[in-house]
Amino acid sequence: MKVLIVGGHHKASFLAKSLKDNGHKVTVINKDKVWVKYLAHTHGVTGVFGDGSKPFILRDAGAEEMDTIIALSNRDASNLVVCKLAKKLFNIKNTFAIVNDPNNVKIFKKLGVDKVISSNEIMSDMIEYEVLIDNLVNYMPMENEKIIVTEYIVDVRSFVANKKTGEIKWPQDTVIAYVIRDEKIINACSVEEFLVADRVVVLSTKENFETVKKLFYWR
Amino acid sequence: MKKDRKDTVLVVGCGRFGSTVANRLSEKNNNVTIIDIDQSNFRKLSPSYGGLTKEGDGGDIDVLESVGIEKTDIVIVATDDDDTNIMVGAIAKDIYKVDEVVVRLFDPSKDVCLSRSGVKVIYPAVLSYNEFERLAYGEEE
Repeated sequence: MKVLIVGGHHKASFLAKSLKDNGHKVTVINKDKVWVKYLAHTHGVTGVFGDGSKPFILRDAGAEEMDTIIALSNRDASNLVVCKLAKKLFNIKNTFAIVNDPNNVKIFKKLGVDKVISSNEIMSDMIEYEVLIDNLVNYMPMENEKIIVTEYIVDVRSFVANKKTGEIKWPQDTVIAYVIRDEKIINACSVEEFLVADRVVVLSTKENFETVKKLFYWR
Repeated sequence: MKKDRKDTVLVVGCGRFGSTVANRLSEKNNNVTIIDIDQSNFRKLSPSYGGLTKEGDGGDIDVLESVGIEKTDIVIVATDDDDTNIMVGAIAKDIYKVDEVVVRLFDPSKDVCLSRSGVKVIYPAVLSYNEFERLAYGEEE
């Protein structure tokens, strides 16, 4: 596929490399002269220097032959204009824009952009996920996802850390199966308190999963 | 100006053009609101300006909704950035179905973005040329 990437700094670089590695023909447009040279040089893609929201720059980059255009600049309005020009002037089938304002995801779609992603939203989701898997190490749904088996590592910031098992308010239908401490399995009945670095295996209903997660979480 | 109708008018961008439009329409007793991201730009409004001012990003729909864009009769978009003007114009027309949307664009080559959208466009360069032609060559053609 022929892909045109407009704007963006590191995002453009990663994307150009990854698309190129996957066999696509990539052209990048960037306002930063040094960066265009760098991208063209490092990733072996075609580089065009200029403002991609101007029709003549898009034409210089061969926009009419492109299958996909990706607008990555950090200005939402400019990304909308790039996608509108791509559709109306160059008949590019797939238009893709990144936006800062999450409100603009819906709006840009209504205004005719095919795919819109809010980079801030995705990043916060990713960070949250990364933080979460830090202490949620295993997640296994059972019985059509009605029951969830989870394994947590007790962090120093976890609510349950250094608390007696009895003083923690567990939600209903929650079973602590066992605790792994110093590579030994300890039956939950004989665990008096949770120590940092304990691995705790918990069975709960799907409804109670979030409540249990909060007990091991630190926010 | 048409008739004696009193319109609800939203002006986005308080530059020389935006402030002039706001001042004149306010003098004619329309309900005018003007948005600008920089409050100090409201100094360009005349002391007799009787409309509202709103400090905020005109490209942000939360800001546009807070000034009641959906109940507006006329939207004039004249920030210093063509891309923002196109975006706000398209939002006003396609999303909020505003009757009359007029956008100022410096770069005539971007007009395709608003073609067949019902948004009307003002090009200062073209207007200046027309005026130049009138002044230099007279009105006979």
